[in-house]
Amino acid sequence: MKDPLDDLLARADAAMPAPHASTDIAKVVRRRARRTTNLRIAAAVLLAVGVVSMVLRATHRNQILAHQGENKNSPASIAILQTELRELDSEARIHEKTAAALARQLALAKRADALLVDPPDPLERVHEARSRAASIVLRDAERLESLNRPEAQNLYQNTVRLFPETQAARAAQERLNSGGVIKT
Amino acid sequence: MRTAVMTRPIERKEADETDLAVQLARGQERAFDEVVALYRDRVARLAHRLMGWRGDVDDVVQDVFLAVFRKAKSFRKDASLWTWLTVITVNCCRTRHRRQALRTRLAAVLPWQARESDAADHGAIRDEAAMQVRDAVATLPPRDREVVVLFYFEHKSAAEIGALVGSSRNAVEVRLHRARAALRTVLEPMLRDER
Repeated sequence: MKDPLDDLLARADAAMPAPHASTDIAKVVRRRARRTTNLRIAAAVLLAVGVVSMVLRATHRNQILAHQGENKNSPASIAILQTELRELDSEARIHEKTAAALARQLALAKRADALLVDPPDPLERVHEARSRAASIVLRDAERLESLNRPEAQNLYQNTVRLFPETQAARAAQERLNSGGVIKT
Repeated sequence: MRTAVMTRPIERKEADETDLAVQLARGQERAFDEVVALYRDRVARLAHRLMGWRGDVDDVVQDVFLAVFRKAKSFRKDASLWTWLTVITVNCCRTRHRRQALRTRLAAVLPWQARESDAADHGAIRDEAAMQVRDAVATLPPRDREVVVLFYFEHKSAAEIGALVGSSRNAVEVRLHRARAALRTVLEPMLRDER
């Protein structure tokens, strides 16, 4: 038996003009997919930087407490504490700069996205951001060295330790090996 | 007549569609463009019906193809492309319904929240009877409407609908029966004229 609803529904549907999807959907979809990927990568990297920073801080705090336990008031102990505080400070600045470099990278990626330029590989982008952060630290170290400041040695060491396998780390290692840096 | 108004599948040979599906699963960009070009209007039409012929479907269509773009590699070639797209469209429309329901609840709590207007499409409507029929379908619960749309407009069987929406055949038949009863009650005078 024929369902009387069938014709009624078919006529009602036919009377409604069919919507036409916009023609640039493929482009819009690709842009949305890229934006989501970029945001996920940036969030993951920032989270990683945050975790590393927290671990480093906790380690240093433990070391300081251990030193305090050993010899609370000796001038040597105070000097050690001051050195470690400087190191902490410089590491915090390094992470801050890394985060700023990543944020800049993300902004650039978004701009490239808006221009529909194919962005580079996400992993490559992370490496680039890392290299850039390493270069910033190296430049700081070189500046301090030119002022004959002993903190330069710490920054060279940090560049090697925090950003291994980067051009800046290799340059920092060479500088440390040369023995020309004033020791702290 | 039913055959005159039903959405016709895009005329592609089965082999071509399988080939396209394989290319899409391999992540080929051109295959994605082709799928969008071939199916965007059909997806828009289905979404429009599932949304009760109301509102702009562009966002839903974008969501559907975004899901296709992301999940292309997980596409199982044992189903047809259109079947896969239908499942995604149904799910995207469900998400949209949930958001709308949430927005409606928020609007009730927060009086400054803008209320969505259903009247947007009605300006274009000339046929009063057709509008009544569409309104009757649109006021069905979303899950019942899904079943009606897939049965009457996509011409799927209860078993096929069950596979698409993740329900048993019996559950689909119960929904269909309930939806038909509701529609018959509302559209009784028109159905009498039909006879």
